[in-house]
Amino acid sequence: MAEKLMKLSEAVKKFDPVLGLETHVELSTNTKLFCPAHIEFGGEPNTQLTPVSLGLPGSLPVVNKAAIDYAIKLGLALHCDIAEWSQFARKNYFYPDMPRDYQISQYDKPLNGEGYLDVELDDGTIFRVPIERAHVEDDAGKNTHVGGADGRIEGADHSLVDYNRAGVPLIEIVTKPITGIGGRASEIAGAYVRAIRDIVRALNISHARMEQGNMRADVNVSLRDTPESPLGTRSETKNVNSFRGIEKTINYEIRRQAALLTDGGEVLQETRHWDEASQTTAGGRLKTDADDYRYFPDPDLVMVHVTKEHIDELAKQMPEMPRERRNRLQGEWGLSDKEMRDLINADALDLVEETVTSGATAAGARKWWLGELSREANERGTSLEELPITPAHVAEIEKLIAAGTLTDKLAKQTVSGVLAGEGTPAEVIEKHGYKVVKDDGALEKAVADAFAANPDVVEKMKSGNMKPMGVIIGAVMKATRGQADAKAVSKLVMAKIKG
Amino acid sequence: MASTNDVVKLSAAEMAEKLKAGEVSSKELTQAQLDVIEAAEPSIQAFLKVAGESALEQAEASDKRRAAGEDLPALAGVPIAIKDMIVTKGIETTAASKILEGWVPPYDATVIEKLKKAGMPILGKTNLDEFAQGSSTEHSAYHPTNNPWDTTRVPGGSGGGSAAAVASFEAPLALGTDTGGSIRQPGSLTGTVGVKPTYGGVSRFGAIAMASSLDQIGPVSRTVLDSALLHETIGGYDERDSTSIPEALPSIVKAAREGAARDLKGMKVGVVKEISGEGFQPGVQARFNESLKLLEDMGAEIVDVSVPHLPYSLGAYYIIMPSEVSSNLARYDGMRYGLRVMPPEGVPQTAANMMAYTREAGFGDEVKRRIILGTYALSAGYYDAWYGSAQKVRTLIIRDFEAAFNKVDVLVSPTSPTTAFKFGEQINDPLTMYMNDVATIPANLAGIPAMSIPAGLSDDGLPVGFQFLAPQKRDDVMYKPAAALEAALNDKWKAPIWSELKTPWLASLSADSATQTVEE
Amino acid sequence: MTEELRKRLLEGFRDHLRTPYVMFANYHEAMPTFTKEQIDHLGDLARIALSDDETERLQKDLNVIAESIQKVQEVAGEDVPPTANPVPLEAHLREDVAVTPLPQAEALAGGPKTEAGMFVAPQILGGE
Repeated sequence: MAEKLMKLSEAVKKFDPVLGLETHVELSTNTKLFCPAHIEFGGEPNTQLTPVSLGLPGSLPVVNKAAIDYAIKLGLALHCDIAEWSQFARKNYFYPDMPRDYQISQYDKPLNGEGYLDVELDDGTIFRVPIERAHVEDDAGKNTHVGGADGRIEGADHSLVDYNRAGVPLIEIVTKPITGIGGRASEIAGAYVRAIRDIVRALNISHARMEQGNMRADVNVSLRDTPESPLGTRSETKNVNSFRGIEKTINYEIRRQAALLTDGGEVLQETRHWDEASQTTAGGRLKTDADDYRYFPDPDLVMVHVTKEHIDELAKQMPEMPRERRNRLQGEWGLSDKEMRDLINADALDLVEETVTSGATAAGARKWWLGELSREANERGTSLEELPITPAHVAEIEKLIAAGTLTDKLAKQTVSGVLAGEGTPAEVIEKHGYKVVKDDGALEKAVADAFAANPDVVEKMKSGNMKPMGVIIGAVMKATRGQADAKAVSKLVMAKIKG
Repeated sequence: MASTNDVVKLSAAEMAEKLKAGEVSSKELTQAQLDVIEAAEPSIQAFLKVAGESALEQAEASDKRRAAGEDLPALAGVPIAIKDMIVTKGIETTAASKILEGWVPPYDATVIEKLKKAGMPILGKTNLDEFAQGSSTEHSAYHPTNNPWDTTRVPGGSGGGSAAAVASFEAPLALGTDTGGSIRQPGSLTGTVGVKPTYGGVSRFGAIAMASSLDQIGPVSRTVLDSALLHETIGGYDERDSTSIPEALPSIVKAAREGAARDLKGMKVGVVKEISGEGFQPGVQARFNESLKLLEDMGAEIVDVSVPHLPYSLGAYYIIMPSEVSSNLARYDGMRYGLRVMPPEGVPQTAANMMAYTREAGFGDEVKRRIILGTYALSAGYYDAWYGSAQKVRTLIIRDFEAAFNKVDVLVSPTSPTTAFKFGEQINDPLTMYMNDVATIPANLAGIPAMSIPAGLSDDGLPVGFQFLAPQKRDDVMYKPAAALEAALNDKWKAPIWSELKTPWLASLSADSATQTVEE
Repeated sequence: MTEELRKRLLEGFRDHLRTPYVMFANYHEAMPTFTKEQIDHLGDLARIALSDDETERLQKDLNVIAESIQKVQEVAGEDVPPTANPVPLEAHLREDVAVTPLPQAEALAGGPKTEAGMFVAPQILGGE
C-alpha cells in the first residue's frame, strides 16, 4: 500500500521540518571496548571472542584505553564538553545478537557532552549543527537471516548469529533537534554526516565506510506548523547506511508526514527502515513502553576518570581538521570555491592531494580525477577510490606529459591501459611502445610522404589556406601510429610550406 | 600415615605442616578426602559434582613440584572444594540451576587459577541455593544439602554445600560467595568459619554474577588461621575485574597469628545496637554475650555503638540486589550456553518465545521472584523511588559505618538470628527467609569485610555464630580478635566445637583405614 | 517452638521492616501494590513465560516485600548522593593489546543449537 506523499517544495512551505540525527561510528581500535579480543573484519564466525564478548557466566568488562582516547579526540573535534568523570550504564533488552542481553552504553553521565559542528553547504553557507552528546558503547553481534527473500528478516525461519562484532566500540553522536532548515533539510543532513566521516578519518579513529557498516545513522524527522510551534511527533528511521539513503529518507519522511498531517491524520512515533528497492521508508513498528531499557549504572564498571592534562595531551596530538585542511589546500592550489566544492562533491579531494604529493600539478591532477577517471568510475558504477589506478600512477603520467614524453592522446591511452589492468603506466607504455615521435628524421620523412600523397592540399596551403592542414597532420599521425608530437609536426609542415 | 579419620580432622594449616614435613603426600590427603566424601555424601549431599580423577592428578602434580624442591606457597597440596557459583574450566558449573545444567566452562575463574598455581587439588563443586539466592540451600534445583549437626535441618545458604562439606570433614577448605551473608550465615549454622572479604579484595572474574556491587568470593574453613591463609592465597588485585582494589592485601595471616596470643588490650569492640536485642533466639543471644565476656577478659573494651540507618539495610538490599540480579541473569536466554526450551505447540516458535520458555523452565521460584522484583525496581517511572532511593540509603549506611569505626576498632553481632531451622519451615515465607540475613546484609552494602566464627552451641545443641566487622580494606583488623576469641573458646570448651559433632560417616571409614597405613 | 522464634524474629526486628508483625499474619489480605497486569508486563520485560499460577503467587509475595522495603524512601533525601560501588575506585583503562581468543569450537561448545560456526536463533519476527 503506497503512502501518500506531498511535493517536497509544498511540504516545506506548509510545515517547518525538524531533524534529529544519531550517528554510530565504529572505532578502529585493535581490541574491543570491554574485551581484549582482536577485531578484524571478515574473519571466520565466532573466532574473535573471549569469555567477555561471548557473555559467558562470570565474565567481566574492562575498559579499553584507546577507545576512550579516540572518543576524547572526537569530542575535541566536535567542541564537546568532555566530562572528567563519566559512567557506563546498562541498557537492558533481549535480542539473539546480544551476548549479555544488555548493552553497555552511557546514560546520564556521557564522556562527551554538548558541542557543535559547522558544516559547509554547496553554496558556501555554513550551518551549525548542535550536538547533544557523543557517548561510547559496545556493538552487538551480527544476525544472518535464513529462509526469507534476499536474506531479509521478514520471512526468515531462523537466524545465524556471529558474535565477532559483539563488543566492538561505537561512538554514538546525538544531535539536538536541528531547526531552521526548511527545504535544505536533506542537504544539511548529508553535509553533516559526510563531515563526521571526514573528521573521524582525519583523526584516524574509524574507517568510516558506510557501505561496510562502519558508520550508520538513525534519522528522526518531525514537522510542525511554524518554528514557534512545539515539536511534532517524530518518526525514527534506523540503521540507514548510505549518505544518499539519509538524504532520501529525510525527503521521503517530510513528504509523507506533510501529506498525512494535511489529511488530518496523526504522525505515529514509530520505527522505520529505509528500503532502497521501493525508495520508501517502511515497516513501521510502534515504539511502545516495551522499549523500557531500565538503564542503571553498570555495577561491574566504576567511573572513568579523564584528567584535563590528559585531554590537553590528546589535543596536542590532533591532526589538521578537514575544514582547515580544505581551506589550506584551496589556497595552495589557487582554486575557486566552486572548483573546490566540485572536488569535494566528487569525493576526489584526497586523491587529488595524494596525486599532487606524488609530483603532479594541482591542475593536472584535477583534470584527470574530475574528467576521464570520473567518467570511468560512473560507467563502472564504482567510486573513484575503487578504480584500479592510483594517485601515484596519475602523477607519473602527468610528469611524462610535462616532460614531453607523452602526448595528451598517448596519456589517455596509457590511462586506459592501467584501468584495463595491464600494469603500471611504465609497463603499459613499454607494452604498447607508446612514445612520442619527435625524431626529426622520421617526422620529416612522414611529412614529405604526406605532402607527396596530397598535392592539392599542399597547393592550397601554399596559397595561404591553412584549413586543410589537418589532412597532412592526420596522414603523419597515421604513419607514426599516433605517436608523433603534434606540435613538432605542425612546425615541420609550416617550415616546409614556407620554404 | 595416620588413619583417614585423623588426617581429615586436621586443619588446613596442620595438613600443610605435614605436607611440608613429608609426613603425608597431597595424593594421600586428597584420596582421604575423596573417601570421606564417598562415605558422607549419602547423608550430607554437599556436592553437586565430585572431580576425583582431576583432583588426584592435581595432587600428584603438586607432590612432584614439592619433590623437585620447588618453593611452594603455604597451602600447596591441601585439597579444597568450590561453591558451584565459581567457574572451573573442564568441570561442569551450574550455579545449582537447571538453566546451566551440563555447562562445562572453557575458562577458570581468577581464584581457581590462583589455587591451581598454588598446587591445591580441587575436590569438586558444592551445592548452593540456585544462583546464590536463598538462605537455606533448599532452593538448589538439584537437591538440598543436610546440616551435619542434624540432617533434618538446613545448613544455611546460599553456600550451604561448602559449609557442610567443611563441617563434615569432606574438605578442610572451601570457597564460597557472599552477597548478603551466603558464606557467613551457613558458617554460623554449621559451626564453621566463613569470611566475606572487603568488596574488591578478591577478584570476581569467574564468579557467576548475582549482584555485582555486593558479591565477593571468600574462604570457608574450620579455623580462623585456615581462612586467613586461604584469604591471602585467593586475594589481591586482578586487572580483569574493574571493581578489584589496586592495592596489596593487608597482613591477614600475621593478624590471625597475633590474635592467637589472646592479647586484645587497647582494642575497642563495638556491639551494634541495631542488630542486638530481642530479635535473636535466646540461645544465640546467650552464646554471643558469653563471647563478649571472653573478649573483655582478654583486654578488649566493649562498647555499644549505633549504626543509625542500619534498619534500612534490608530494604535497600532487597531493592539493589534484585535489580542487579535481573540484569545479570538476562544472559541466560538459551542462545549461547545452557538450557534451551522451545515454546509449546500453538505458541509461535520465535526467538523471543524460546527465551521466555527457556527461562520459565530453567529458573526456580526464588530466582524468578527476584528477577521480577528487580525488573520492577529499575523500570521507567520507578527508578528514582526504588533503585535510586536504595543507592542513597547505601551512602548513609557507609557513612554510619565510617563514623562507627572512628569510635571502635571492630564491630560485632551474632551472625544469624536463629540456629539451623528444619527443612520446609521457611521456604514458603520469603519475608522470614530474608530476615535470616538481617545481621549480615549491612556489610555487603557497605563493602566492609566481615567474618563469622563458631561461638558454641545453643540450647538446642545447634551451632551459633559470632560475627566481626572491620573497616574497608582492613580485613586484618577483624582476624586478630577472631583468632583470639577462637582460642579462648577452644580453651573454655577444652576442644574445638566440632568435637561435639557426631560423624557416623567417618565411623564407617575408620574400620577400613586401620589397615591402610602407608609407608612413605 | 518455630512459630515462637518466627514471631520473635519479626517482632524484634520490626524496625527493619515497615509494617508491624500483626499485619504479617494477614499478609494475604494486605493492600496490593502489584496488579496482575503489572506482573504480566514485568514478565514480558524479563522474558519469562510466567504461568497464571506463578503470576498470582508473585503478586502476593511481591506486595508483601514491596511494602516492607518501601521504607527506604523515608530517608532517601534530595541531598544524599547515591552510591553505586561501595569501595571508591577509578576505572582501570587497559592497553589496547589483544589476548588469544577462544577457539571457535570452544566458543560454540556450550551452544544449544549451532550451524556453520554460528549460533542458531529461532525466527526473529519483526526485529530490527
